[in-house]
Amino acid sequence: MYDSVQATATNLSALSEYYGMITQNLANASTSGYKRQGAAFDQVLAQAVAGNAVAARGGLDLSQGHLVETARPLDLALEGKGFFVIETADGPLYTRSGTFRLSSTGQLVDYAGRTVSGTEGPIILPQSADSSSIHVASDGRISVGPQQVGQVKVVEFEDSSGLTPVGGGCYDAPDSTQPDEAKATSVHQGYNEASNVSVVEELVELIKVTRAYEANLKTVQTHDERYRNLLKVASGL
Amino acid sequence: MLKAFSTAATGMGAQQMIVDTIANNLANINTAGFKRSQVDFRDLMYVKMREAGTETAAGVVAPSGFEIGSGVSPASTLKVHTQGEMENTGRNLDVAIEGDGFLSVTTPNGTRYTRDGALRTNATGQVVTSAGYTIEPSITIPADARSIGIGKDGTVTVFTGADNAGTVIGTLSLVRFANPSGLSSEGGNLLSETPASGSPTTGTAGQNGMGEIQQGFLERSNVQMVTELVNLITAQRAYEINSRAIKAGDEMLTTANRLMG
Amino acid sequence: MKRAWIAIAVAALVWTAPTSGAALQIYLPRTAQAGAGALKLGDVCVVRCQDEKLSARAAALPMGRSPSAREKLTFDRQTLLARLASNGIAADDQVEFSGADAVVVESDGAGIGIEPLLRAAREFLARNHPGPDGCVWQLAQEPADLSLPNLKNATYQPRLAKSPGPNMVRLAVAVSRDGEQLAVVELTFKAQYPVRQAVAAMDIPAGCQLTNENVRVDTVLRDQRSEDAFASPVGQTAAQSLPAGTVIRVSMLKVSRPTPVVRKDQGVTMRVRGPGFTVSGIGKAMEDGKIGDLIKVRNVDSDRVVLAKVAPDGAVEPLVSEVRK
Repeated sequence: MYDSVQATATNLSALSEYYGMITQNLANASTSGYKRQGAAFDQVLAQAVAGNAVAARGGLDLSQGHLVETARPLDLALEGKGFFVIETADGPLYTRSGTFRLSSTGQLVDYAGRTVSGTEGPIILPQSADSSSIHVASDGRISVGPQQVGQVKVVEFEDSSGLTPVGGGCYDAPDSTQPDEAKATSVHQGYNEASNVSVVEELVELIKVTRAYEANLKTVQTHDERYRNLLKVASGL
Repeated sequence: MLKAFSTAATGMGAQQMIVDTIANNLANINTAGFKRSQVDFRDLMYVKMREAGTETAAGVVAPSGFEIGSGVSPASTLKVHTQGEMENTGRNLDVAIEGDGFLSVTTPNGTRYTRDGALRTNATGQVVTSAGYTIEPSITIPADARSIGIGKDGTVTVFTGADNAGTVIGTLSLVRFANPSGLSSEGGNLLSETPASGSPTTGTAGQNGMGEIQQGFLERSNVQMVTELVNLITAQRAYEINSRAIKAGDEMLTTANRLMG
Repeated sequence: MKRAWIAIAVAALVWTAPTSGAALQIYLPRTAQAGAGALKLGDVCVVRCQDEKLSARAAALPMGRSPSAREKLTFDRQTLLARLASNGIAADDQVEFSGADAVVVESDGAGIGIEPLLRAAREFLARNHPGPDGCVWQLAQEPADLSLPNLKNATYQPRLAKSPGPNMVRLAVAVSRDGEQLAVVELTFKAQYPVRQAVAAMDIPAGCQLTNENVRVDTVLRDQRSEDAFASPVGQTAAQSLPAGTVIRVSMLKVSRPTPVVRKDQGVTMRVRGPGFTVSGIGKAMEDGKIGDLIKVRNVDSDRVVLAKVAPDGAVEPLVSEVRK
């Protein structure tokens, strides 16, 4: 009996962690390239309601977000499993947010000014590039007017479960996982990938979590009352 | 759970910021040369709750790590520098830039840049913006000028006297930036240089990627009413749902308090 | 015993080597020059490391395209560090930077200039003559940045593009190598006409006669064909002082022939010219007149007074419409 109380307590903490994840998803409903957390929600929730011990599980939901037209020539959206590669002093990071820009030296960088990796190194656009002459092909090749200046590197992971979000729309991959060149991913110029959070679905999850939380609390309360009764009997009162 | 409240609050703040930006875009739907803004968000840092492979309860091993994010923060406000529609005004000092480039303007705070080409002359005949700031390089229209012609390359010619002889009195030059989205908005339709925008390159209109100057036209704002309204409604709904998340969390805490108390 | 000491010393060296020498040393010059082909980290900065394999790997790291003529590419320390870290070569604490904060990479000048393009375009124009007769094609404007590396064995294929205006021609020159088109560069030419003009070869004082020594004839290019045929001013007299280099116009010359002036009451030849005929008569001038002046002349035969223009040879040419009683 004591075990089941402990299981319930674990569930309660898992549920409040889930609640945290839902708020995180909702907060990022407008973040381009954001991928919702908690892919394994439902099955775990069902177990929690049934009173079995569960563990909070993250799990990125890497499903495709829909593409929103922005008309900015350096907004790139990915369609498919791929990721852009951002080069940092701590190693590569992977991202789906392609709101890129040019640095003051004309280099293609992300929102924080970090190098966007090209297949052949950094991509620098000529100073004469005007916004209407920048063209990005679906394979990521960037040309300015008739001249090709580089190709944006797009990679994919055979097993993406090891990716950990580090904020700023970026993911870190464990050293053991090496990405391969993306095969079936296309790049769309002038688009952003919207967050794949559906606020309505999150709201439904939120209600489920609330109910499951209340149900588990009731179980604790019932146990509590039983203990009290037992103690009363034992102490002969 | 209290941490989740602040996460949801950052979400509400983000939606509020979108609404503010849209409101500003809509307010400037009739401002010549205005470029719409778009807020770009990024998720905040994550707190690692559990490493992958740790035992979370008796016999339960987490198959993957578990991180909880701390919400969202605005990464940047981007000016979307697409071409606005051209409106024929017929005024000979109205100029529109078709393509890339900005006019330089001298203000008391230093050089600023604008695409608002509603120019006029001041009391001394100098060419100024509608707010009265002089254009760089300064051009003075002689008092006896009967008409003014501005070429696609920006050369300003005045026609004086009866013989209709044209005299070139100056050139409207344009400047461009490696990253125009990095320019900072100063209000009054003016932009200023930042380290992110890079330093300005001055050039002749119509050459080396600079746009062409069209006399007698104004560039309208590139704000699209319908798009902004759709975004506004989406932002409002998302705001409501974020606040709903806080309320739900509050209910969970209340229930816990009631049952335990 | 001695041998054992050496063994220990060698062991100590081997032991200390990885700790002191594993760091990658990168020196950034202020500027670097790069040739054609893909840029490598070793072209941009100096990479040193005790582990030669590591430094070789680092130096071979691709750094994007090479700069085109007149173009400058800038790489800062942060970019280089991120590049090393993201390719698994060296982490933050294993790289020691020295030298400049950023390196500016310029082309070593071996990139293709405009010359081969111009040559191909000129050959095309010479073959096809797209413009009016007698014109010369001049490049209207230098093309914008020509961001092409040096291309050996490249072929240049010009074709006519949409003309940007009257008296202009635009050629699109396709640059390709091994059948792959690398770029299309547009060149705009303006039609110009050779026009001869006389120029003072030295300072010529007023009243001095123009000779082949003090006047030279230059050919210049003008937007328009000259309307009048060129007439050499040699043999005429300068009406004003002509500093060296002055383009000599008719208005600057004194006509050296004696000026026949018609005097009042003088008998004059009246001449009416038409296409293919000349009618002459005798008249009497009623007033003085210089060449080109309109004067009244009485026709001796008909006794009518007409207005006539004094010709250079002293005859008068009546204005047919101005006849009056």
